[in-house]
Amino acid sequence: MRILDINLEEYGAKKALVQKLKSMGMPTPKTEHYRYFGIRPILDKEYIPYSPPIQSIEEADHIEIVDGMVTKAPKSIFVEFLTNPKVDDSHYDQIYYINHLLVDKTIHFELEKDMELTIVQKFTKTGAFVPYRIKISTQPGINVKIEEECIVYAEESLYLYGYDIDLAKDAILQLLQNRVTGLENFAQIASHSVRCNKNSEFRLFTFDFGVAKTLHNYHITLEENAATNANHVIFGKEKAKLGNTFHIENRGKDSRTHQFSRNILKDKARGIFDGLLIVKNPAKYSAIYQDSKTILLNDGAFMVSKPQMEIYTEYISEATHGSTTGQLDEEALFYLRQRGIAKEQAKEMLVLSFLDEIFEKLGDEKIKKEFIELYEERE
Amino acid sequence: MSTMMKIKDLHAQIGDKQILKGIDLELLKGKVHAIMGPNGAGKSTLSKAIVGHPDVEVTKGTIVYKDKDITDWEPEERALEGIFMAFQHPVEIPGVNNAYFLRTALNAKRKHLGLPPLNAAEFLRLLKEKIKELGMREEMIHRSLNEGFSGGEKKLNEILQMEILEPDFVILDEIDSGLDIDALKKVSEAINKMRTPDRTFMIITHYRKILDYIEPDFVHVLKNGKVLKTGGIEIVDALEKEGYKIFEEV
Repeated sequence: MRILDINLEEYGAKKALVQKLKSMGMPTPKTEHYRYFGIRPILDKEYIPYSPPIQSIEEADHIEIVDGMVTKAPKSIFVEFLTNPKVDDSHYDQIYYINHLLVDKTIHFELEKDMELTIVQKFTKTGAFVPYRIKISTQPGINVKIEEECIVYAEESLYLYGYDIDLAKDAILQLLQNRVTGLENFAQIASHSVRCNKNSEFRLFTFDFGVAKTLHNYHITLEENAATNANHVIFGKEKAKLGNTFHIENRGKDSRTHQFSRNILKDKARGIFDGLLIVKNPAKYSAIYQDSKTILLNDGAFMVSKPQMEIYTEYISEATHGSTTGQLDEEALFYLRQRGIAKEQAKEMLVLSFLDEIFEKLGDEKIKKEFIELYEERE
Repeated sequence: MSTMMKIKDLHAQIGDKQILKGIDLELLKGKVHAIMGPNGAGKSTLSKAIVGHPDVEVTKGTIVYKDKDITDWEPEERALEGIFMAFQHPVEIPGVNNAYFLRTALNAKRKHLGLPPLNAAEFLRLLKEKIKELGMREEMIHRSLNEGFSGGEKKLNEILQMEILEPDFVILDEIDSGLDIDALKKVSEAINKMRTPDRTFMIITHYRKILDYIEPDFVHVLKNGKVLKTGGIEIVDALEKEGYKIFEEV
């Protein structure tokens, strides 16, 4: 099957989604957030559709999702499958609705108490088209840390997935998405929707390292006094296309968005940071901050960086954004070499210093080590 | 007296601009050589050529250091062989911890010399001893390299690096610029302590003041990319009185 061949008339039972898709149309290379990703060859390609069967869940200390189906989970987590989950009706991404349209059973994790959770996602089906959705909802006032790891074996395949996160009042959720992809012909488009209710906080760390083609589209909404702190690192090499796009809407007063992106690209890799921060009229006294910086390690690498803001209120406490793309500071590199540090090691020190703020904020040495290992890999 | 470095007929350019037009210079082991000259004479380009700065292209001539032709060597190879430059404007590198940087540099040198690396505790002991001698604040070693340092602190940090790395050939590129009199004294004292029969200093300066504190053995005057005059401290006295024009007809 081809994604472009999907016949909307066959999905009469999901009328609202069909209507939404009809009004938006299918994504094309001219669709703003897919403009630099090369969506056409992915949508145009023939895949073998794969719908994972529901199976018994083995008890484990982490959640494991293999090709879109939960295979392991801790006993303390309530897992169910939803046939008709509530869908974000203002998402900007058509793929979000296509994804929901094609999925019969959405995986739902209900988080009821403070916890640290690991979700291991395995992508194993070569040549397959695998759509699935994961819904996470929290109880009010809890503090949760989720680390998502990706293990990729699937080649020539397309995985469409995404999180629908409902963050209850006063809750804190930190989602660390560690996406290391070592296969050039693996493609993934993920559309996420995060609703932050009053006084809640969503902390997002995304690490996109590798050579694949992946795009993650995030629609985040913030109610009164809610906050999101989003931090992104892209390290792309060879012919990778790695990107993240965002619509983050400050809807309630005193809401806060802080977004920080650092990108390192080498070879012919392409990185995408396309972030729109929106302050709606009721979101008085909100603060938005967006900062994207990129280092291109050689001439063939390319970064699309589009920090944007739309503000519909006169009363805003901060609105700052900026973007720079450049090469490693030659004078700094020479300074280190003049002290006897070899050129490649000096470059690595400068690259790490560039990413230091995000690694420091996360406080996780494991991700830093993974980055160093990947950076040090020589062709 | 043995030669530390011999520069012969050195021509060098930055971009398309020819700056050094045949420098001949012999720098002796254990001696302090002052390099003076008006703006644009080629003093900084000469120091950059010696340390292998990528902006400088040597088009003719040679730099022989400890009997090895280093003209085409990489900057780090020259540094590991003992060439050190204290920069006029040390760069700030946010995110690179000062102590971590120094330990990396020292261990690179120790590896080059066939010595085992110093572990963090051994290095910290050495570092603390040196910063105490220099009268530096200890918190500076835990900060990012040169970030937010005052002009004087940056220069002291250069001297700290010199003391840790113990080079054989030291270029001090306008180390006196931007220093108040107390800081200049402190830096000069530290440099004088480092003077040994095996170490050569090349001091690039516009002003006499630093040479009152660090007495040079030789003074070389550069102009238009050539060495116009070599002599002793009397040259500095003459320059003070008459300016660089007195050497124009030499």
